[in-house]
Amino acid sequence: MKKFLASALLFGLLGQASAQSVPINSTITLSNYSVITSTTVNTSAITTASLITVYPWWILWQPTWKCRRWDLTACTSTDLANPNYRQILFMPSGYTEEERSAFWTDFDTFITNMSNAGSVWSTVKRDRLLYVGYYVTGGALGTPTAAFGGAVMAHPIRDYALTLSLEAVKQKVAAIKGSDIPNLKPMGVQVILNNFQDNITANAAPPSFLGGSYGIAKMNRDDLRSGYIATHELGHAALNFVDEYVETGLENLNIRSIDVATPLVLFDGSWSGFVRGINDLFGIYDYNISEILAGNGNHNVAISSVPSTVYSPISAAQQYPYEGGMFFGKGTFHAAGKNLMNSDRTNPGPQNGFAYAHSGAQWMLINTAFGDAPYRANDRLRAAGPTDGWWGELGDQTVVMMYDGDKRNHFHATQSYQVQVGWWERVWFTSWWGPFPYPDYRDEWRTAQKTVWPTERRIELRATSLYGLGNLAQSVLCGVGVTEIPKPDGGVFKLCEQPLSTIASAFLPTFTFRTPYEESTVPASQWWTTYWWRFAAYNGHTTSGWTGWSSFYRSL
Amino acid sequence: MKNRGLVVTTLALAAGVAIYALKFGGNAPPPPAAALPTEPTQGERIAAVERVVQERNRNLGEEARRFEADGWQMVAADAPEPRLTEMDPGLIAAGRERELRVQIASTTTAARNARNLGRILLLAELPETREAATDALGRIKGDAGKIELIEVLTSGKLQPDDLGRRQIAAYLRPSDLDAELAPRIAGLLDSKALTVAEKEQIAYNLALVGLRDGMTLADDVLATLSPEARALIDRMTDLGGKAFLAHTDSHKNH
Repeated sequence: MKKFLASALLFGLLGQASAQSVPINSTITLSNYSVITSTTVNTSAITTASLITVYPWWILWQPTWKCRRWDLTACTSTDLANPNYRQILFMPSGYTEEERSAFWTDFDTFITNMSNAGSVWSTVKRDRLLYVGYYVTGGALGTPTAAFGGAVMAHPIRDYALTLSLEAVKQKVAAIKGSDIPNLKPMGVQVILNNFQDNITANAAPPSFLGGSYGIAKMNRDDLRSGYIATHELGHAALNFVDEYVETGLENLNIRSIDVATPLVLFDGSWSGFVRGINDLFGIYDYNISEILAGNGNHNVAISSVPSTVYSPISAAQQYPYEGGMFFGKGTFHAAGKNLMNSDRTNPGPQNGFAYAHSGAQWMLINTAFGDAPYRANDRLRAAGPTDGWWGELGDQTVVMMYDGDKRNHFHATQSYQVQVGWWERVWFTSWWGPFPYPDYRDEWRTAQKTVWPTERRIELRATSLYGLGNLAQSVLCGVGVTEIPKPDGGVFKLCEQPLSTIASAFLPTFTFRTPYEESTVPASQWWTTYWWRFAAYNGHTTSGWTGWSSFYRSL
Repeated sequence: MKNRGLVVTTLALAAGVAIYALKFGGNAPPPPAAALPTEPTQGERIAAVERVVQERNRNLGEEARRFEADGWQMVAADAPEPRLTEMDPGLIAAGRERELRVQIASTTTAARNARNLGRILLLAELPETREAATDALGRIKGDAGKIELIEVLTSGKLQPDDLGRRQIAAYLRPSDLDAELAPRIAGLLDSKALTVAEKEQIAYNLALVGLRDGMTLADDVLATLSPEARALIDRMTDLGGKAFLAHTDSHKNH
């Protein structure tokens, strides 16, 4: 309670500061409290000596960070180190020093909303969640000093958007972990922007699109009015769920249509030269942008009504009977059950639409996220090439490509693959025709097996090559939370802040995607031989069934 | 009559040679003893054949050793079954549809299997098998798979809400608007066999291909389309060319 009194005192004092004053901020961290000298002094008094002089007067104990349970009771460093708990990190943007206490009030509201929202994940699992609030001071939104560069901007797609630097957030999380809270390991980060507009749509970047261990959600203070925004956006950022609803105008359109852009995709240096070279020449591998977007580690939406393509020894094949999701009305599927990631706007029904609840498929993943073993094998597999029957392999090595919808599953990512390659080998022996011996043969089946460990495999899509598809690509990427594109010079391209069509081609970015594909080199050396191959995936708990056999033919 | 006997004898000899050739697969033993200067013993015959066998087995296991040297391990596994790998529709009647579905859904199909997949799409009892067949046909490079899909779509044999039919229209994308298949795909916009949603998907595909390449359908192709079909393509081109996310789910109404 003293902390809050101190905050209130500071707030009151700051409220009396004169217009000629400037803020001076420095922090000395002591446990989870900081000695704050954030105050205002007359510009004429800014000297080292005067700072030292005023220290005793202005040193006030203010929390830089707090750890709270669902009921707002304090949690400890021991709790943070306990692997049975999951953590949510809550940080501000656009809150000035004077608004620090408002941030902590918002933190409490956020926790309460998360913990009392029907039967959603953060309510059912509230005993297993720790909320870490970390105050980051800075200027107001839209000013150069706003924490994480937070701002509210007119959006090329929506009316207004919350914007901030995801990279700055990631750097801050790393810095906190390296200093104040070594045991910080958030499953999701929620940044709240100090703004009360109600025509701004909150959004989040799921971890699979950010490529890290957590995603980042953005909301403003207006979003604290209910539990929906926080639980939904952290459904993206912490659980890697994607939306199951459909955008107006896209009810009849199919996500597969965006595969029109697949021929523009380039394999980058994360692939072997073989894949890059031979695919450019012959297009013998089967990869699709629709899969990269909607079948790339996310669990609750799939591009097939029965996502399982192979046998799972611990579960029946999953059924996703409802079509729609990831904006498109067709070509994506989700499981039955009204839930937090859906909406009543399109095709509502007893088992389809919004509720403060989750589908059975979502619960499978939520339980795994909170420590249960995976409920299924990583069974969304496909041999992706060379195209079955491919005739043109040259040289003494071939590279096969595997599609694995769970390669980047956030909670049971594939740990390894078993790849089998088989061939018929001719074995000669002496046979008899009456009294005459002759050399005869039989073909014997040989199978070799190898463990392959997944590595990051990326593709690139250059905005300059998109021509008229630029706005479509921008829409899709902004919609899934990809708001920043790293630039070669180390900076970032803010994708969602202006229409691509207004940007000179020289400044257009190259989009890089981490893919659900993996490769394996096969030392197939025999001429005029058909080789067969298949694979299975291991998720650390269960090995899937094998894919069907595919073949390639080694000519010369 | 004499000639007839000669013909019969010649045919019999030819048949014998053919059988012998087939039997030994081009690996016939040495010529009969009568052709040799001296009669080989049975032991010599066996030794000669064994030398041939040994010579031909000279590289036996070499490929396995090559794999092992590359870090692979030789294991026992069942060989592929041709009926599965060739996607034989007869497996449905044989009660093996689930195996067939795994084969279809978990591999990338060759164009030579398009016909079989087209039959499976119509014959399969499980909706997920039909869905997998459509996906497999749609992923085939080239036109063979798309032609099968067009035939199924226009046949009216699958209901619009059938899982096997729902994705077909989305796969009907010509490689470009000058492609041989483009007029046929565009012509589907005037087909009475298609639903409104299917026509929208096809028009959207044509629009996106055009936006990607900076092209439109050739004038003579457009001339064959109804005004409604042309208007649909225009509408989809407009939709594809602008940012589509109105984000109508405002996130505020829950």
